[in-house]
Amino acid sequence: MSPPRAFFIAGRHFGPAPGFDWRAAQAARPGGRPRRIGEWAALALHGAQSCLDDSGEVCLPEAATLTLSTVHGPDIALRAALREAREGLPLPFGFLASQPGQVLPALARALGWQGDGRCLATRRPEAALRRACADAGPGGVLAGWVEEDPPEHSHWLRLRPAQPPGGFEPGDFSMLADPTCRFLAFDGAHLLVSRSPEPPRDA
Amino acid sequence: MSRRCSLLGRGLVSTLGPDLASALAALNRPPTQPIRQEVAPGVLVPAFPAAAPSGPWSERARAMVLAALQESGALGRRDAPLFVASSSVNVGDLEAGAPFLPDCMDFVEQVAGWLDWRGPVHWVNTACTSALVACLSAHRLVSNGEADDAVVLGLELGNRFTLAGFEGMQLLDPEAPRPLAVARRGLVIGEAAAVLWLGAAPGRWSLLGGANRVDGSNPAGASRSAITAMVRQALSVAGLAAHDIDLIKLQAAGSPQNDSEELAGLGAVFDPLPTVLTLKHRLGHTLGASGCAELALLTASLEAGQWPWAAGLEPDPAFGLPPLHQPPARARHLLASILGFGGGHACTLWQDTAA
Repeated sequence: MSPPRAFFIAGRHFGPAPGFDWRAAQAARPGGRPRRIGEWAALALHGAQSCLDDSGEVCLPEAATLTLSTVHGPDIALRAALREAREGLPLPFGFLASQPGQVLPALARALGWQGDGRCLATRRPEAALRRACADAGPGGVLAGWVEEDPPEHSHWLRLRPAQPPGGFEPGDFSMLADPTCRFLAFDGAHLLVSRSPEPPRDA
Repeated sequence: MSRRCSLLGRGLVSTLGPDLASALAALNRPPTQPIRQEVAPGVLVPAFPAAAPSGPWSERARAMVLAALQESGALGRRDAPLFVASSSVNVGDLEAGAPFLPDCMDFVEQVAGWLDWRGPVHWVNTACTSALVACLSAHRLVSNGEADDAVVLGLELGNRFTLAGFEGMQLLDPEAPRPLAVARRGLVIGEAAAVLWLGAAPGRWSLLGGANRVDGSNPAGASRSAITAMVRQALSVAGLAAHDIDLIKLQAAGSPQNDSEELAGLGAVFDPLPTVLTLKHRLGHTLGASGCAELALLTASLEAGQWPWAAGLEPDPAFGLPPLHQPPARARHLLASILGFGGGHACTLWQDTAA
């Protein structure tokens, strides 16, 4: 077994906050609401771009991977497109919006990135995070959890490989929203977090 | 420490037959024509349904999944991670009137329930590249020592919605798949359940790695720069040079634009191109399952000394391809790629240790 890899949490976005009009915020971004993407993909874009803002990066580096986890995906768009298909051919927009994989090229465009990306769903967010860390490239990973079904959320973490700091303790996914959690790692299937104030050192 | 990751078993239920033996036998016969399926009033499109007994959608799906897993031998490893690679999941069941499941994972867990699977279950959906992306994740699990083996189930089951969606975007050939041909007009969708069982135990085929590149420039098609970057990255990961590759299994689904983009992207790395082949004129494009389905068929063909070429497949002379009917002198290193819808570009590199 390889030693566990540690990651510095370079950016995070846990949102949208209740009552926040993320659609308006996203539409106000230059190119923030591309045509031909559905609501679920737009929510993913909002979270991913906000997370990258938090990390201070303008673009996602090519050497970073991108993973998106969801258990509902664009279900709402799928239901609408299936209703449409009962009457005749679904319109291209409706069909595209119903396909989870279509979020990836939309993210690639929005993040100025071409690289290794995937939609990979598991029931437990920690399990998806573990896979995202295992699949992370040398430039780290941008990992998201996006659900359009209520309560809608678009949680994202920008992780960079780092030398393991001290002070790791058992953690859970909800702790990662806390800005004082600065590092994470996995011991087997178990999530560890560290609040160490030390600056990140490249792995 | 990086461990070797081998192909330990495979299974395939496809339009060519209910198992690999029947698929290999079918390859010796002239290609069959696709059926024509009505997807909307008065709209008929070609499709390649799997050779599976008819019946209610979920019973047929269950039978196909069980048959593919059974053939692979992976049912003895029910504690291993299972990656279900599928883009249409249970849409056919919804069309048949089944209620919406609470979330996407429910169907994947239903599949795991059919198999009495006890290991962790993941759903991978990157459209057409799903199965190869799942193979790359399984490869990392095995080579990093996180798991002794992992199973990838590519699953693309019959439904009108996907056919209608592709037809609505004018991506289908109205007649039959004609990959690489001058007259190619689009793809023809096929149905499949396919399994690749990967693990650290020795096997004839070693998965050396691969690459996955998402590109946002064309969500419905391939980008030559992404193809070039994908191949270069895969070669680097595997520690190989372009001249080490003896055989390339192309995406080549028959799309006018994508087939050209693919060969242009490959041409920037390979000069000259090694032997190439395509399997989509036989299997159809099995979308999220295609990575598994085509690798299962190709490796079985090569082991059987059978070159999966079909008379009548005439590539556009402008591509300048090596003759498609001629197998390579040896096929020790194989590159298998899947491209397309969803901006995905993925490939895997394999070594035939017996070649």
